[in-house]
Amino acid sequence: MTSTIATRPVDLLLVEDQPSDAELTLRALRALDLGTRLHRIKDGAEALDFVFGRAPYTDRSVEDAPGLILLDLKLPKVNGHEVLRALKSDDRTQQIPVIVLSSSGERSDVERCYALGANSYVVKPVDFDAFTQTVQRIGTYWLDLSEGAGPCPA
Amino acid sequence: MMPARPEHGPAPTLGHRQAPMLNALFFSLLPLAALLGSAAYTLVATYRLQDWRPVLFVGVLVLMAVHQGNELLVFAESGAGDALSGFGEYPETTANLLASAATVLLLRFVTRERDLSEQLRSLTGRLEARVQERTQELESFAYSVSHDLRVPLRAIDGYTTLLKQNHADQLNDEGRRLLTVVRENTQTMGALIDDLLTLSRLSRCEMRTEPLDMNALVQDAYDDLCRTDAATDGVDLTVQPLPPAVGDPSMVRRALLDLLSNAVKFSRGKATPRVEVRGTETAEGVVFSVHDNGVGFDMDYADKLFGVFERLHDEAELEGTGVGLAIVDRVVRRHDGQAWAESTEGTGTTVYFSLPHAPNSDD
Repeated sequence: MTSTIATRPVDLLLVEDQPSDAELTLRALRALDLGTRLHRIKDGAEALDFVFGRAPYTDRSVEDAPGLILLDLKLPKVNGHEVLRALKSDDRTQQIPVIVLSSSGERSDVERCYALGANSYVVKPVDFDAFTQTVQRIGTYWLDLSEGAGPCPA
Repeated sequence: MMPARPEHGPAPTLGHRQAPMLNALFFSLLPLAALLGSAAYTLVATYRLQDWRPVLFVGVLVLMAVHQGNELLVFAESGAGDALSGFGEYPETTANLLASAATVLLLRFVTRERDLSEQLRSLTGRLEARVQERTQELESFAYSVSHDLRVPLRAIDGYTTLLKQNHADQLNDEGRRLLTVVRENTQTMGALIDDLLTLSRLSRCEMRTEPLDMNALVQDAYDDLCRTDAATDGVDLTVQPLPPAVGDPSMVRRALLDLLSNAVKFSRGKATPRVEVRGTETAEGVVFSVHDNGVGFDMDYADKLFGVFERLHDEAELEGTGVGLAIVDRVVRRHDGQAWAESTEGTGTTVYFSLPHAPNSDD
């Protein structure tokens, strides 16, 4: 599944290392029935490879930017802050909306992410209903309501 | 025995021509050198101590040195033949030497004491820095642990809910009840983690100190409580005019929120639950109190009240994480204040806390 979707444009890229958080997030988004193409990546390094079209994603191009990136902060290899910096400091990727989706509500984390150019910062609730609602509101707003700078619908 | 004057015979070990020279050297030059040396030492010590009072000694020592130098001049003129041959012959020599020694010893003692107290201060400073470092490590450990606990907790809550939502037909009543219990416990743990994070944040955050309008803060905190806690409905809240204090508004507000929430929780079983907030100025600071007419607690356990996770009632009777009063205590302590409580079981509790005075508005 990864190999086929990897070559196609993606509407939403979820960068999340925790399988349970990833599953619950994708479930909540799929339940919205927006027909969006979702893709999940487990660490920061791979996320950057995916977006910039580097190995093993050489058949992707940086021009096929995802329409939206949901980014966790605590990631293996390259953490969320570093991914954010890499994306927002490159002209080719800086227009991709990045929503930080983190367990941390620490002011320092929030401020740092906005300073790095995050488009929004959302704290993941522990309560499942609140969590689902939060993710779905992000999805509805950024994938449905908001005019993206990403690829035009084919 | 007679003092060994040269004309009375040779000294036992020295040639008789060298003896007067040596005597002159020993009984005139030595005290002179001692006086000048101790005057110089006094100057250096005075400078090191940054205390100019010992300069008086310098004056006296220099005067004595002049006198002693004069004596030396007399010898130079009349020849070493008249040189003194012992301390007893010329009492000033003895006095001069003793004065020099006493000054040096006294200053040595004072300087040493100062050095030691400085050393002690720097050691205390280093120790304090290290304690602070360790505390910070511990706090950040607590912080990251609390965060990491949220991930599996969200999974437990999420998957239990999914199970209940999507597979309810495959479960009987008991199975569904068990899932509800799992969820309730997840929520308790979630609240616990939130409170622990608040506690850790309140311990680490930078404080901003400003004059506090305590009445406004109490009202604000209570409004907040009313939005989330249905138990506030029947509560009769009285807030006396409160004296102003000084502190961090968001921290004090948080402490008030926990105190009011406790008061509401403990008194909700009463026919007419009453909560009253008062404040008085004392010499040490401004003391505020939150009183309720609720279940109260056994004063034997009063010392446990402000500890983290300490609960004096069982969970089924009164829910809560046991962190609320620990938060109050942390906030008040960071303001150099104190928190304490008085209670009678069955008739009510009063929790007191003190904050610094507002700066005097008269001047």
